[in-house]
Amino acid sequence: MSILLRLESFANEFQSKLAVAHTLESLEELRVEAFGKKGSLTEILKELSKLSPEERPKVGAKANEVRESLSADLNQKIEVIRKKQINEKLLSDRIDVSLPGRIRNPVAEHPIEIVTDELCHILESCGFKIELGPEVEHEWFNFDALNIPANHPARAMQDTFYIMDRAEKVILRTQTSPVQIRTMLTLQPPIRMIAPGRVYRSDYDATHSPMFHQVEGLLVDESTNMGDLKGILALLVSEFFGMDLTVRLRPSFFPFTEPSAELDVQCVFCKGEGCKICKQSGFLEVGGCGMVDPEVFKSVGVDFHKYRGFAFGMGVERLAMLKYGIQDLRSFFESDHRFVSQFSRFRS
Amino acid sequence: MKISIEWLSELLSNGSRVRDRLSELEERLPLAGLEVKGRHSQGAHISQVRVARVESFEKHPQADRLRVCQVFDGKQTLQIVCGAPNVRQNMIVAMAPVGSLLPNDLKIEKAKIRGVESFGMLCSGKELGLTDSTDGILDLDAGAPVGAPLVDFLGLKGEVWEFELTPDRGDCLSHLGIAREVSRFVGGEILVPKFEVIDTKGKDVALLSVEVHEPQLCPYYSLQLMDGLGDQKTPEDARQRLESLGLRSRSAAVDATNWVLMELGQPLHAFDADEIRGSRINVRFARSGETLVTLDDKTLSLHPEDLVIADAERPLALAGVMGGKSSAVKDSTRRVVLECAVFDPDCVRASAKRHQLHTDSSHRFERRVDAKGVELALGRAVSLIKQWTQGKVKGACVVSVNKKYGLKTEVNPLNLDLRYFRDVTGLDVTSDDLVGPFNSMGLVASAKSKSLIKVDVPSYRHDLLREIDLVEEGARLLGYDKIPTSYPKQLVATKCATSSVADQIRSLKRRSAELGLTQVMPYSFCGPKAEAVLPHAAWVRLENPLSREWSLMRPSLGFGLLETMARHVGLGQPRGAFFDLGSVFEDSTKREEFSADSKARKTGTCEPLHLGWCLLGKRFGEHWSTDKAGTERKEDFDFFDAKGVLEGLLPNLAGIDPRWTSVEFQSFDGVDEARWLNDLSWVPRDLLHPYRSAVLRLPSKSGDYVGYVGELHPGIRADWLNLPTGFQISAVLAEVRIFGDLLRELDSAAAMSSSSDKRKSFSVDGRIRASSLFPMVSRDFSFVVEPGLKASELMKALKKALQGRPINEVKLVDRFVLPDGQCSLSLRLEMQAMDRTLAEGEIAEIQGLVMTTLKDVLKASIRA
Repeated sequence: MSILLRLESFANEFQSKLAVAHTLESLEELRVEAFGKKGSLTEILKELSKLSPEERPKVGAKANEVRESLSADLNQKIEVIRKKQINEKLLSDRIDVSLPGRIRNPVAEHPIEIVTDELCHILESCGFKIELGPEVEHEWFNFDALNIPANHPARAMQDTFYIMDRAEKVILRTQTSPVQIRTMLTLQPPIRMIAPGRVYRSDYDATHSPMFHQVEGLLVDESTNMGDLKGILALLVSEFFGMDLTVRLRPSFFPFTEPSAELDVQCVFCKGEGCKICKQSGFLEVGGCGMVDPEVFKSVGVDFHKYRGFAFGMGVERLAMLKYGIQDLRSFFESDHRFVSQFSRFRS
Repeated sequence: MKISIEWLSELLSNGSRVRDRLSELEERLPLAGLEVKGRHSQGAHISQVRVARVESFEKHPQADRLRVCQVFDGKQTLQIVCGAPNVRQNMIVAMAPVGSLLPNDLKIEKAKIRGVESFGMLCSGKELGLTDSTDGILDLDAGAPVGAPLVDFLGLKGEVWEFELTPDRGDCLSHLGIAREVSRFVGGEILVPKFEVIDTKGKDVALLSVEVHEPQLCPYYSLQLMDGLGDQKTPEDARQRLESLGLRSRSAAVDATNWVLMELGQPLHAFDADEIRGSRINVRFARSGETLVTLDDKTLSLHPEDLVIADAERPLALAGVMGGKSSAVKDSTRRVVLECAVFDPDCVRASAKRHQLHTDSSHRFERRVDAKGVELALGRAVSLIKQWTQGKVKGACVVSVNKKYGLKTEVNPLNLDLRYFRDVTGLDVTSDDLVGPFNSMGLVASAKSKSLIKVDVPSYRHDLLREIDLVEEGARLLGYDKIPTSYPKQLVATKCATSSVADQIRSLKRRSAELGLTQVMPYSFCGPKAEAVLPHAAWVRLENPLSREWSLMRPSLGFGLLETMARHVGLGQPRGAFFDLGSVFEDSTKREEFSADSKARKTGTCEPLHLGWCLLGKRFGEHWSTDKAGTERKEDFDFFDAKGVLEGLLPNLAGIDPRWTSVEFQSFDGVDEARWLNDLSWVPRDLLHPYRSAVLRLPSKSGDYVGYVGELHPGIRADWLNLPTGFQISAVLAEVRIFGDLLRELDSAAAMSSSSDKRKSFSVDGRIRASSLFPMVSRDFSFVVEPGLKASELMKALKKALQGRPINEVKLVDRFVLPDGQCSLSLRLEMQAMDRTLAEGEIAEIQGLVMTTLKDVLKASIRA
């Protein structure tokens, strides 16, 4: 049989075997059987040397052609089977994507923390810096230096916790204002500071907690006035509540400011139209403020002819309750993760 | 403070305008600093309640404490069941008929009470919102008209404003005071009420004399005797008006003093002259052992600093606070002595506080009365008593005045510079803008120059003493809404003293939350239960705590975290990871460096800042994919979870990277007892498992202990976590001290911020290591060691042996205990050089070093 004929019958045989091979293993066997070192095609090609030099290139070319063509067929079939196998594997790996994922505990900061931070961030962007002070205070910082002498009715306004067994009156601070005093004793004006912190008053009922939080602001320079106070407060509450709100200063009395004012904010619920929450007034009271009283400057040795200042203080719990619609003051201190964990979504 | 709108109108020439402008005034008064809490129509809530008479009553057949009453309401007799002990026959009562609605939305319906039908309710003063008294139903005058509406009988028909005033505005604590403020809005004059001119210079028969022993506390004291009082009652309309303001009508003389108090703001007192022993009245301090039975039948043990009004034998009244029962004016009294005085605010406040008697009188003396108005007030009272009782003035008024003790009767002249006004308020005004408003308030103001106003402040304005006070008054009168909004001009970034500490606290809180801990804020207070755990802690105690359970300041965050865990157990949510960051408190008065120097204003208290966390229950929540075959133990939080949190926090906490710098965890039994008593006195050791807990020591400082991590002691778990019986749960507690005292930390931060060196003092590891680009080779070693060998010793030995070699990390990758108690360990050694690929020989050499160390130094037997 001529080589050409053998090639032809080899090709036919290969094709018929290829047609019935359906696994990657049988295809590999076929490859070895056909093209391996001891494979059929190799055997046939050994005969090439017996041909005449004229015939050899012709038959060699033909043999290559057969090899290429059969290899291509084989590879194609392998590819098809591979794809099929991968698809089967993928299909068998199918999951129900609607099953719950594995959650790591979400970042859960306390609403008091979130509100305090937000207020501080807004004020820090206006050039105010955070200052801190101790919670156990000498009453001079908390009262006397703030123009609240002993027996002043304003001391009775703030029910004070006293520390036992001290030669001098030592208290739990009733306000963050002593930080103003400490800061003015440390730094020379101009000063722009915020004092966030925990304060205490001996009062406990549905609307009073013996421990609560305030954020206090103080600016001292040579040119500030009550208009600036209004400006900063309007900016602060608008940024905090995320809407343009007007503020209203209402005359009031604090020993450490003169003039003094209550800080009212346009009601965030009705935008000033009047609703149940603002008792139809269109405004919500959120804090106190005023121009630093000259007596306070005197007590910390700031030249009150040269410098003026404004100060304001706000209750963090109150702002958090307004912003998040929290009903019960006590929920802040009850340490319930069902409460706290809800606030991760409010973190900016 | 209650203000009758009718009364207020009578004091104003344009009084009729008040009623027409109620809503407008309610908006404008608060913007002038006078907060109107509300307007009540007196008796609106009880308009259906009628005066009725109890015809007869008998005991309820089924209930000892109930009575079945037959009550006549003017038309018919109704059966009403009543529980009050004071029911009696022919009693005149307040009856709420079926269908009426009482305060607090109490609806009266026909009811069967223990089987007996009841057609209405007999009411107590409290149920009607009239008094606070709960002892029985209201006992009305015998002459009250049966069948009439109760509100008509009580005269509860006028409208009343409720004001909430700031303590600086004592001048507004009267109808006259509010009239002065209102007159600005309605125009017209103040109508000064009719008063008798008092004869203070008279040399009439000295029926009475006064000796003021403490003139500094009583700069003005006057007495006027009146006699011939008839037994007439206070006129009905006056009585009704007083009742509508919450003042119970008594005798005519007492009603007259109350009338003047409400009208002019000057408290007066009336004594029964026949009860005064001797003819001299002394204003003196109480003597030790003296007592006073007050009008409301309370016996006060007087304090030597209480100022009293006394006759020859005994105290008659607590000065400026309340009168005594013995000399109280009765219906039968024919001679009265009227007292009109000025008492020292602090003295009255102290007495009122001491005896917990906050009265209308003490409230006004505490906020200062008008020293110039005393004669007018006395004259007004005399005039009313004459008018109401036909009483006559007897003799001259006896007066003691001591002007040197700050008795302000003159106007106070002040200047207001308009440039100062503008600089403070931002309001650019002319003198004309302010003179008018000032004058409308009774201040006598006139322009002295273009920029200067002279203001004479009347004696009743105790809040206007300085130029800055006039700035506020001017701004208040013009309206704060006129102040233009502006922004601070100075844009220079300001200095800060302590914000670096705040930054560190903020980042620690953030990091703790990111580590999966939920922030909680328990109260800073704790109680005896905590104290028993830490007997050696330097406790800070409250002098006036709200309760025993809240009488101490926390020395550790552990107790609040334990409460947090107990609460979650109680809520049926026994799983969670929580943190708290905040101050704890330590008494430092007993420390050597403490000295009670009043100039230094020290608090004798340290405030260390702590971060604490706790882990409760299962490490992972239930999930559909969890391997249910996994052992219980592995799913529970344990010591190493809490330790891992600490290791995660160390970079923020102390600038330490735990991969490279070792932090020492020491077992409890390795710590000196002296340490437990001193630097670890705040660690709740007895609540922790003695062998599954550790204290933490930082490497840099001189072996300072800074924290603890521990599983809860099994013996205390059920108690502290309120576990139901038989309920087991794992709980781990940990806490670290971030710094030892807030103030010292703030001081050093302030010092640092003013120096050029801003580096943190405890920054341990400032270097950043570059990452190698050459291949990393890792080799595992498995071996068995004796059970006593500590992981820290193993690591220490290996680190020493591998010093200077290109080692990335040595990791413990497996550990289990063999049946014979020995410990099987697997280490992974990661080798990598910065500048080359490691050669086989070098790797083999390092491996050899490890093997030698394991075998020779650590006596380990290498596993195949």
